[in-house]
Amino acid sequence: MKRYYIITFLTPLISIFLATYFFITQNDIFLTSNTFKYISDEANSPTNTIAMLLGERTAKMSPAEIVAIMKSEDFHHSLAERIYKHKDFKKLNLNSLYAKQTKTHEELFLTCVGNKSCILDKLRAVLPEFYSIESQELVRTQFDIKIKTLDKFTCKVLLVEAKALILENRIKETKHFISEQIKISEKLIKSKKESMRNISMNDFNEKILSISKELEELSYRIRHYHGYYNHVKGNYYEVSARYKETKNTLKRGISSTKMANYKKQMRLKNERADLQKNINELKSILGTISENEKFVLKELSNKSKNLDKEIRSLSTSTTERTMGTIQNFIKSKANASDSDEYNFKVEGNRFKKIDAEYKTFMKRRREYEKELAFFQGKLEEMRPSFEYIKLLESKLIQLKLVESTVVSDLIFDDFKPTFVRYKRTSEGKISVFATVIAIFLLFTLILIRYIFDPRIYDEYELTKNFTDLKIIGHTPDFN
Amino acid sequence: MSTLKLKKKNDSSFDEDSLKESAGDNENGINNINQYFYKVSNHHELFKIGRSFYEDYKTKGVKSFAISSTGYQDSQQKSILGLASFFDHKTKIKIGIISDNLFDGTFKDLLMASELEDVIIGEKIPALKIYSFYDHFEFLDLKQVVDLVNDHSIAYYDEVLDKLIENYDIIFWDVPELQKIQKNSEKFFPIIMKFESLSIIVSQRSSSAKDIEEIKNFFLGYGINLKGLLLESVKENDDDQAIESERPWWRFF
Repeated sequence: MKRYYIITFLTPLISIFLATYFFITQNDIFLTSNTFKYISDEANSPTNTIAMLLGERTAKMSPAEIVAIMKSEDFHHSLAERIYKHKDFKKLNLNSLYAKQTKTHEELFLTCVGNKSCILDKLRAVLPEFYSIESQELVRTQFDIKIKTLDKFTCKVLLVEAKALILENRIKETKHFISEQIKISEKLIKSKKESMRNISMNDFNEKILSISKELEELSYRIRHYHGYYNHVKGNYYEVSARYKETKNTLKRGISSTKMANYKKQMRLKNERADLQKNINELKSILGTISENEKFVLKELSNKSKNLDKEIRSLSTSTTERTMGTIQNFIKSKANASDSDEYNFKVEGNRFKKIDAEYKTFMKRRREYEKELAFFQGKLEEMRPSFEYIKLLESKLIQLKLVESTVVSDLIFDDFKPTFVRYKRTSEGKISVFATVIAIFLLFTLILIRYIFDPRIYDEYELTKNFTDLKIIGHTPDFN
Repeated sequence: MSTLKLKKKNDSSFDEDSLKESAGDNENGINNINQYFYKVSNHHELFKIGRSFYEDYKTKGVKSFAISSTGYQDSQQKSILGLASFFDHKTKIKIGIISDNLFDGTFKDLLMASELEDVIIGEKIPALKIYSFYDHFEFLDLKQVVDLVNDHSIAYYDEVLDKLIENYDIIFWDVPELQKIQKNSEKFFPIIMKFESLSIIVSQRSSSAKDIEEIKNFFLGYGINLKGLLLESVKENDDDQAIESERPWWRFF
């Protein structure tokens, strides 16, 4: 820096001069702002509350969308129209904030020669510079609309017009959103109804109801018929069984073996009775019994015992009583044979008739059940479409109700606006900027100067530049 | 070697007393001490460079020292005067200083106090005008030497130069600006060839590496032995302005 002292001295000086010049030549800017709240998320939004009650949604805006409200071309155009129509339009100072020389209203629109569309074009071009929306850092739903112009009156007019336009646009936008929903709902209902033109849910319901009734009646009849059917069936089976057994019994009769056994049994029983009679007589006649007599008695007793054994070995069925019963039974069956056959035929015919009827009932019931299942399935298939139409119709009514109650969800504060007068770039900022630039320039220029400076400044540089040459020393100096 | 001297007073206005004092001339006319040697402010530097030159003279037998620069004639003259004073102080030898700028700068004052002599250094060689400063140094105008060397009536110019150099124990050449030499290279060539050692003065803050390189390459092209570089420091007070005034405008920044 000492080496290039002129640069070192001049650079900050020029920076200070330029900064001062820049600061002085800046225009005075008037700033005013108005805070507004976005209440769509809150319960105190009338439109939102009604919409919530009806289960509807309104057109919600994100913070970014709110900030961008004033950036749309449509907004610029509408505001330009409003400003143009304003009674004090000619009194407004619409010079750019960066203008070096301010112009009068006439000078600004001189080239338009009173042409409205030209003036509007110019207004659209200059107005966006004057306004902006900024979101507040702490409160998510609060925003500031800021107006900056070169004139306090212009600031005030622009603020009023911009606020009014924002509110108007917001209501219009919300209404538009709802009316679009209404249109879509109506369109959907129409198309859905057209697609289901030939199908009536009532028809389906009536059919199902009638089938159900028929089925219920039939089931009732079957239930009652079932008891009678079982009774006839039981009778028929009983008669049938009796008839068959009678026939078998008569056909079978009594077997010869059984008869031979019966006769043998009878003969043996007679023999045993005679023998027992003899033994008893012997015992009563004899007072004292000799050894021979004892032996004869014993022999007789043994014989009697053997006869008992033999009688017992023959079947009990072939007893005298059994054989009698059998003979009686066969005799009785032979007498009843004709009536059993008659009964069998009568009950058989009755059962066949009833059975055929019962089967017809059952078949009809199955058919009814099948038909009912078919119609119920169809109904289930069609039900979502019917429900959908019903839902859409109720939604349409709700949307129409919401549309008629729309108010803005952007609420501006009612405080009287305050104005701040300032320069676009403050002294502090310019000072800091100038200092930074000066330092940067200083080092850059010194560096460039150093790089392109071929001069030798000291022994070190000399040594570096001429490594092959010896530095003898310094030249002598005389007093 | 014998030379014929025809003395006459150099008539010009100057502070003779102070110069006499500088030359160490006492009332008895005995000038055995060169007071100029003591006028050097940076003696340590003079001793440093002087010893280097003296060593070359003593050990290598170098007796023709040329001093060049990137156009700072006064520095060259001061350096030559300093070195000549050192040699004169060190030993009693005959010192010759040849410069093309005798009547300007540092030499001017000394020249005013010198005696002008016509010296014949050889047969058929015209007498040379020499300014003798109290038997300390003798000054010769380079133009006179160049003319003598380029005199076509003299067949052997090389011998003329040899005779001139032989006339002194040591000679300091105050080399003109490079451009001047380059412009009349054929005239200066015989003289350049007699340089046994060349030192280049680098002026602090003014000389550029490119200029120095140019001088270096020029003399190296002639096979001249480059002794080294002498750095001329800038005094913080008064010389700054002088240097600044020599700079082109674009170098002010």
